[in-house]
Amino acid sequence: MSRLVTTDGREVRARHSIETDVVIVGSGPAGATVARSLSLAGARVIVLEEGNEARPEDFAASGVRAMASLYRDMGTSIAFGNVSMPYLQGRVVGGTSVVNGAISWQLPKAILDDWAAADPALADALPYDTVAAAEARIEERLHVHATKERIAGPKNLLLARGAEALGVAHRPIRRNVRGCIGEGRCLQGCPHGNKLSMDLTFLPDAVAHGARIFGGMRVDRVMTEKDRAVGVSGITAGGAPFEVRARRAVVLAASAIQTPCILRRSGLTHGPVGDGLSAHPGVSITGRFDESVKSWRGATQGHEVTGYRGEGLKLEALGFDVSILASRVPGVGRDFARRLAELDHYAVWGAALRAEGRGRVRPGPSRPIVSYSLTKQDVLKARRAVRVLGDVMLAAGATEVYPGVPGFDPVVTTRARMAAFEESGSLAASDYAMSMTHMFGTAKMGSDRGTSVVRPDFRHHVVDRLYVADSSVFPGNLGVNPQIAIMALADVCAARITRVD
Amino acid sequence: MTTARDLRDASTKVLRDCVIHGYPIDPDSLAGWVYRGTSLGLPDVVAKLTWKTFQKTFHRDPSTGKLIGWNVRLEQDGIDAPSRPKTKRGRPVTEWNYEVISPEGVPMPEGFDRGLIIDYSRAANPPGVVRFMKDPLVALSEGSADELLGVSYAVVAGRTMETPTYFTLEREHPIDYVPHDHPRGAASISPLSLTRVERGWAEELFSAIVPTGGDEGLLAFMSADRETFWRCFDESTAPLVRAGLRPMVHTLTFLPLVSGFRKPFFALSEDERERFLQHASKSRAYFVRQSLVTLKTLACFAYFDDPRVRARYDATPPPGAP
Repeated sequence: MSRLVTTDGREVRARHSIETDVVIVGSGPAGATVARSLSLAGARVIVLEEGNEARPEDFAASGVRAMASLYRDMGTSIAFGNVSMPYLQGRVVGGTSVVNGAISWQLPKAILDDWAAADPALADALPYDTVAAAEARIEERLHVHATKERIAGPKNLLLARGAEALGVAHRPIRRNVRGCIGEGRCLQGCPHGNKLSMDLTFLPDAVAHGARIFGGMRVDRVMTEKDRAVGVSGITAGGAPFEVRARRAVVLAASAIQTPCILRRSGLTHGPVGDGLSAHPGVSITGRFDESVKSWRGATQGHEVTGYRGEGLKLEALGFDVSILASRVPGVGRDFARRLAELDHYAVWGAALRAEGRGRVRPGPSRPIVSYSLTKQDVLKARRAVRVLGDVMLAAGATEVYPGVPGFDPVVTTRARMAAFEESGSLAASDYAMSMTHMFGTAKMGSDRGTSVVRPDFRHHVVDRLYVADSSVFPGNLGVNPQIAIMALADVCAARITRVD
Repeated sequence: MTTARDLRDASTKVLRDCVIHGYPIDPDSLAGWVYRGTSLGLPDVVAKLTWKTFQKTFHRDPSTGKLIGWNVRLEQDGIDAPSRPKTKRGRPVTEWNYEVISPEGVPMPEGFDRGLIIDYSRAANPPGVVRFMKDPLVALSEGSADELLGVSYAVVAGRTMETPTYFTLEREHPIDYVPHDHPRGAASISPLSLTRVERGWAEELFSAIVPTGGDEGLLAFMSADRETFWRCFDESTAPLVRAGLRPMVHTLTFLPLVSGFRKPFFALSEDERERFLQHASKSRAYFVRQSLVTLKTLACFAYFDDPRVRARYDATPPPGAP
């Protein structure tokens, strides 16, 4: 398979300078979408990605090796607050789409309506029909479809069984895969290229229309002249400074963590840049089944319970590498070793919370400094999530579930005790082992210059020709997995850039 | 066709001609291999004081894509004896780290640009002569990287100085050992990383948290290969996480001193370790609990990286599986 990158920053060891029409920072879902759209429209496009190119055949099966090569900081980036939460981001050509669970959801209309209610200008900028049409095109290109039962594997089918027994709405997860064989390695990168991530779809499409992808290029700053963006500068993985000058537009699509840092490092501190971070904190619990589940096999995340979405909870079966599954099995010492011998009987299911919590992002000496805290309401929601996860697990046939919350039973075997957990479980945020996914809102879109960073048409309020196309612009979280929504809005952003020209 | 064996008794002039008229090398043909090295051109007395045989390795660093390597010290059993690495604490002794680069832009004596350059200045090496040295490397046969010839020269203040140190390299076997402090690793190891002693404490904790190797029939933790884990951890984790591991290891190592055990963790018996870990897992102190959870996660990462462990769980599909 031919390489995507035309320039590998690891090999660039002398000052590098280049010109183009549009420079896009970030090659994940947002950047790849803008690159594809603008290339198809005839623009000369360069995409800069901090990570390197990795081909499916090179993806390591081992959790630690995959995380070291494909994830930012090996997945050890942490948001600090009333509970410290790791957050995962891909750092590879294709961005997080290379290492996510391929879950595809369209942007709920109710969310768009909420945004429009808060800022009517967004109703004009993001008409539902336009967004929905973009999503339909994207889903077709990414072959989004419901997970087939034959590749789901026991962990997903058990979740379906539990939800069915409780009469709670559930469904196979719609994913952007083609020919998936249920090997359960989405989070390590699909070694067969069956997950239709950006490096296999939108980026090759863009390259076919003349776009150039540069890997190993870390962008530090947006260059401006007279309140107009004229390019970006940074450093190559080989240690050389570089500049890419752009005649038509600079597009930031580096994620809700990196984009505000680039803006702030560039002195573009207008508006609440870096503030208003929202997310979907996740909580999970482990259960033991008499039958073999082999959670590291089957579609990585192939089934979801949607019946609690009204409460801001979405439940999913989780598929991990054995190393991560093992770390989630209770115990230490000899008891733990005994449990490892029957690791195939354990499953971990999680709930994503549509949380109220807000945080902020600031550039640090070497890494972004991310703070985020849950509200009391969020902690109640986390406690509720643990309870319902336990309920569904027990209803699915788990013989034991392990809430993993200090101060409560380490092992629960009845739904009555799970109900008791919701009554008396801890309300200290730090007692919940959580992780943060899906970050939004750090360069918010809006019509008010004082409360937003970019205009409803994705243009920066102060600097001309500078656009933000990633989830930084989302006014809030969605309650569902955002990849398709991010791509749809990026598609709208690309259309605006084309129209301006 | 000249072979490595033909050059054993060759004069310095002949060796120099061979370097100048040698053949280019495809770097990918070196990657993943250990070569047996034989020093040439040194007076016998010098060879006896240093070494006649050694190994050079060529390793494609997965995180940077660079071709790097290191020398392996061999027991001096004789020029034709099988390679037997010197060991320290059970591991091969490695030194002279390097990166392999193309010759463009590298200062060098005229004609030394036929093949590749082994550049010691681009890797983490202790202060000294090694940091000034470069070795041009050529193939002895066109299109084959099985037998190579190299020579050392120094670059000081932009000036090049040739040395009479020539060597041949003969392809020996695929790399079977990547040291934790290999060139890039050593370069990236900061004061944040655990020292060897601290890493020993961490591994004592790991092996007690995951005390496999008993009745349950799993590979013993300490028998698993942990090197890749440590390399990934030191090179790839966020600085804050690396910095945070040290207080966690210290806390769990010395907490037993004040928790009724009166000994640090590494001095506890197996039963005492078990009791301490159970005690720590129920601690009311958030930091103690969090330290244990973190070390358990890292121990699992390290243990489950070993191919034998993964095979036990059918977690690594065979190459080429559909």
